[in-house]
Amino acid sequence: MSVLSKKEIKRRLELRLDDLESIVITPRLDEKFDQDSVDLRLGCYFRVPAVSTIECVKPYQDTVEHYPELVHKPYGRGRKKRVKKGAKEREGDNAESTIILQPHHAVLASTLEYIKMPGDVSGEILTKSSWARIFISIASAPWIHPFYRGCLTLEVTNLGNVPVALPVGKPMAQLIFIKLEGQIELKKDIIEGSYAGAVMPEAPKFKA
Amino acid sequence: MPDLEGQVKNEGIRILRLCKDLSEFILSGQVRKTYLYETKDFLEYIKESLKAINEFVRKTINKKMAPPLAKGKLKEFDLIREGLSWLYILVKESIDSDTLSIPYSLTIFLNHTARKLQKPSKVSLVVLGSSDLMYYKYNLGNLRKLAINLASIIEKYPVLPAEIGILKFPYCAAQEILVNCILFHEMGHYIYEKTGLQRYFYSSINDNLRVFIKDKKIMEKIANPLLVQRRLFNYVANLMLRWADEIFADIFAISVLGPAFHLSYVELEQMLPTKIERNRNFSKTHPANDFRFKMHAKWLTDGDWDEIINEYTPQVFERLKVCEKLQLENNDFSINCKPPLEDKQDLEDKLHKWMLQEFEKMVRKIEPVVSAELKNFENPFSDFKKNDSLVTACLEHGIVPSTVYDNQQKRHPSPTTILNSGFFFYLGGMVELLKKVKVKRGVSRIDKRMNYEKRLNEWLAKAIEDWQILLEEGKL
Repeated sequence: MSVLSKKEIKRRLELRLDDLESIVITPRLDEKFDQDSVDLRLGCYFRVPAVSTIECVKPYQDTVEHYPELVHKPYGRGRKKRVKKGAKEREGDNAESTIILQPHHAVLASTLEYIKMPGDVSGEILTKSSWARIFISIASAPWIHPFYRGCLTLEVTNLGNVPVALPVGKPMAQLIFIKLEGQIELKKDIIEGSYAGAVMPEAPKFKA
Repeated sequence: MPDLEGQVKNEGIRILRLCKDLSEFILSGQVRKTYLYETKDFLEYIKESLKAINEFVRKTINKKMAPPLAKGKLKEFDLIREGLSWLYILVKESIDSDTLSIPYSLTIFLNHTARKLQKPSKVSLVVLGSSDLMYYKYNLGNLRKLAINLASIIEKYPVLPAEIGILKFPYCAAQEILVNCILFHEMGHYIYEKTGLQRYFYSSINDNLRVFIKDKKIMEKIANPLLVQRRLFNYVANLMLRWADEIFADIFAISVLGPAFHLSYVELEQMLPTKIERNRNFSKTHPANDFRFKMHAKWLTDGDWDEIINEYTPQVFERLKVCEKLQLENNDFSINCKPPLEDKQDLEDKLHKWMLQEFEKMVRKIEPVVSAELKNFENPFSDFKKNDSLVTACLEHGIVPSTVYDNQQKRHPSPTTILNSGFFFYLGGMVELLKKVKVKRGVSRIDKRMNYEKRLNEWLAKAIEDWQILLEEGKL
């Protein structure tokens, strides 16, 4: 098992889409690369476990399509007055583009970036360390399979004792690419899985 | 002697209760949902209106008043009630139109485009879901007039900002991006309103009709010329002004968006129930479809789109070319309405023939005005030419086309390219995508197709949303 370096990630990002080794990150911003990972930003859509009339969620039995509830925090367009370039953003300037996470609460979020994994690589998504230091954890199902594509779903949890404002559009996660061992026979690109191609956190789809 | 003062109090309290209910309804919606600031501004206007009414009515009912004054106040309350009835409909639709219930990315692109065109004036296009299965620009004329009248009696009553325009779409189509390209046509109506063409056409129609009636001695064959003449002027002006508005909006949408507008129109036509044969008939509200397509064809050709349409959608191209050859002067079109000419068929035919000829002249006047409105606007074809194949490749691989690569060169296609390439892909390229999709046993081909049509709409919406973010961040 080996982790792809920045150079290798960049090489794969420049491959044609029909190359089975190609990686896609879109929209892509160059400054988000680390030596062995790519920073991913918090997206604009959330699923919030609102107080519900559902007595108990029963996977495989009930339809839970609208639980948790979808919330949209538009990025960069919620504010009316633009902050001058270079000026420090003041609290409240972009109030529409944050979500407040209460202590010991969780929300489903997704990355702003849409990812396509190559066929010979798995991925793991981790909390950026600064966020971890304020007791925010972003993933409880962090593994990404080869050929997966979509915005990655983040289970953001506030493990601390004070509320935390989560700013849309800011880096919160880092994605690590891990090359599969052994001889991999790549035949063709496959799109599979209930959440493939998702652009926002989707409600669970339990299928027996 | 009726107790007029008591009546003022009773009616006043009813108005206050309605104001309170509406204000609370607005607040309850705003607590839970996120709105675009165009919608928020409009809701703010409604809140200010309700506040002004509230203060005015409170002051009024607390006053002692003599019967003549009370009579006057009751009349003012009538006007307030009329205003509230207009606001009432819009409150519900506005509260329901949060960012998850409208085509969000298309709405921000609409406003972006409108602001680019209307520089430096402000534009605020509010997009609301409607229970009608149709798209339209809501006529704010009555509300504007009422606001002016109310401002004359209520001290702080706010004037409805001139830059606000309301566009409505069928509420169930909120997650669609392709068919909602029709909204660009509705935006065209908003732009038309600002051009002053309507006033110009109104007087020219009247002048030319007068000459026509005189030349053809129409009124000599009519039993009641005074009545007929008045009705005839209304009939002709109503129809022709509406047709002109529609053609302006069509040419505008084609010029701004390209074939995506034409394709969305064709898509919508297939959804709407219709009893009349609309292809060659002009109706009370719209020019004949084939006449509109004739104009679409002309403007798509001018925008260099011919080759692309022919390559991607040959059937659409064929129909456009057939329509392009149709001529008003060859009697290829007719009017499916009854003019007030005392059932005299020969006069009706003459009048309709004249109207169609006059309308052709109007179209020739509309075209340069649209061009002038769009003089600083880049032809969407240039970005499409650069990025179409790259966007299509993304979609074939199930990828959001917000960043594409051409020989290692990073690019961000414009929303018009995303919409056009997306539409062509939807009509002819889905097979390539579906070949890659592996579904679980038991999922039918129809479900697979429908799921990925939904995905396609989501990817296109996300790409436009990403474009907006990159624009705001200064990364384009």
